[in-house]
Amino acid sequence: MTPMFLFFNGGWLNEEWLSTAAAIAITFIVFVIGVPFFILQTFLAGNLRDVYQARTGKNGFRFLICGIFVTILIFLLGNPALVRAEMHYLGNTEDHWILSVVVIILLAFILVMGIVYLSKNFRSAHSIEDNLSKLVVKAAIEHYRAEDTKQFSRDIEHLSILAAEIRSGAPKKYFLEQIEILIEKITSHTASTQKFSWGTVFSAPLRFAKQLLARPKAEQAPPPKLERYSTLKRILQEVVATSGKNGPDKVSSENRKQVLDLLIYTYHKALKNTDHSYLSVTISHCIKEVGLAALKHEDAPAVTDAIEKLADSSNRYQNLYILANAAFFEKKYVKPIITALRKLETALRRLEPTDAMSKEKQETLYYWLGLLANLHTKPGSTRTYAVRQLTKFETLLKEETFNQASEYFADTMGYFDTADSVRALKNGWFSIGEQNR
Amino acid sequence: MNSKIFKLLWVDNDLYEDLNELRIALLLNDEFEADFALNATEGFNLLRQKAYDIAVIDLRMPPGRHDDWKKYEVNGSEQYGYALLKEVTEQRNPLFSHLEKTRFCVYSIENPQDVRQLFEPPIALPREHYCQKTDRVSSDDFLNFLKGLLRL
Repeated sequence: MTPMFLFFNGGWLNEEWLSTAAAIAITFIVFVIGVPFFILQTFLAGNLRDVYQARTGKNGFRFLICGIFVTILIFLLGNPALVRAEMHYLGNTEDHWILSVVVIILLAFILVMGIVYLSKNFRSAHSIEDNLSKLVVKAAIEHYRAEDTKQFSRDIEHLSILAAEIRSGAPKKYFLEQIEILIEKITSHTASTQKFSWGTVFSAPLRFAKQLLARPKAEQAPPPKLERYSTLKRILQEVVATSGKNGPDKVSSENRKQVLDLLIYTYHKALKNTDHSYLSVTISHCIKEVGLAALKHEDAPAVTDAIEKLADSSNRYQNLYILANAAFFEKKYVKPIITALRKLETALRRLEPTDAMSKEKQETLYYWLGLLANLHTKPGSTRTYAVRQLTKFETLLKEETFNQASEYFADTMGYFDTADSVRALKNGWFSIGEQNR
Repeated sequence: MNSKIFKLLWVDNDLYEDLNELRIALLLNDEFEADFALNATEGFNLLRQKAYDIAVIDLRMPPGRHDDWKKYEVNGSEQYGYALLKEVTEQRNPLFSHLEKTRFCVYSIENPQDVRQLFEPPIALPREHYCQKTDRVSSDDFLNFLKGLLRL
């Protein structure tokens, strides 16, 4: 910087002035473009980089243009020919201090602007992911309220990329918190409660105009229940469930628990507002998918958690059966199958007083029998446990029930091993009865 | 042994997600030989190629790759099942004459009262050919719905 102030004599484009200008330009490029580029290339996955470019490309470009403009201003202020003209205008060609102060202030402004921009956006890879999560969710909320379906669809696409790519631990936790805010806004959206946010200086007027246009519409007409259902369904399937399906580098055990909590929260919250029972099928499916992913990545607590959530989110237990069965056979996890059996027992007790064998009661009984039949295939105390459990609903266990359950597993679900196990259990159960007699 | 096997087409983008268990139940059933399509374009192509006894169509599904579906776009909503039904009905003579005996039915989340245009010309779907997706519909219920339509 010093040479700039030392070479006030001379004409336009003298060597010293040019070399100083070039040095500043190179420093500026390295500082503003190089550092973020290095961080993005080093710490962000390819897909995340694409989302980042799509979301913040304009801001970066504006910053660059602004920086270049100020730098050119400094070059001009430091140009010897211009300085002479300015000194002449100021009336005191000997006194340079005013110009020096102006140049220093402008340089300080550029540096501070650069530091603020970099520290805000590139403090760490973690902060980039956090900013991106917040930015996309904020845009999604705005687009949902403004009923801009095209932009909202793009937001969901970006969120699904973030869901798959953001790293496990704190970044994924923050992302899921943001998704919870989005779901909360969608499920409780009746009137616009948005406040104006200044955001960047350049986009503020445009956003303000957009919000003015969008607000009355959102206040007058809450979205139709079916559209809200479709929106939630997409978020749950493409974003929330995706967040819980990857391996430990993308989803920690705590993150997976957070995903399951979010799914069940949405179930309770959304069912009131969407008034559409099919949402429970979607949520149940998502919980099962996350549970199966947890099983694949040997996250045993999440598997059990998923089973509990499945029991809470539906009164149909097919997914609960599928997950518990997979946990037992694929990874030999016992806790999930025991939890599933208890949940099914509770359901059966609730249904038991009714004499008629309703479809719901029948299916619940089949799944309970199926799980016990699978336990019964193992020797020793596992088999003893299975037989002991059967005595709890002795009155329901007729020969016909076993046959129907076996047929159900073979003909409806394609679980042929379970169908055979149920038949074997039937033989075992009735032979015990004959022995006792 | 000689009972008829019905040819069925099911067009729905959730066939491998929410509807996976229903799809498996259908595959396991000896009375049906099922084809599946995940969007309007796939459904349209299969309907053009083969004669089906029954075609199950969801109202909400993506258009698929063919650009012609864009004319049915309403506020970005992906209700191309209705578009598929309309296309097939309107072009029944030139392209779909082999589907004269096909029973079209709809399995979708909409309340039938909200999709009245479905029951009016040009589609004019009979009311009993509509089944609403809810959490209460089991595999048996769905299969019975289909068998009931084939007996009509």
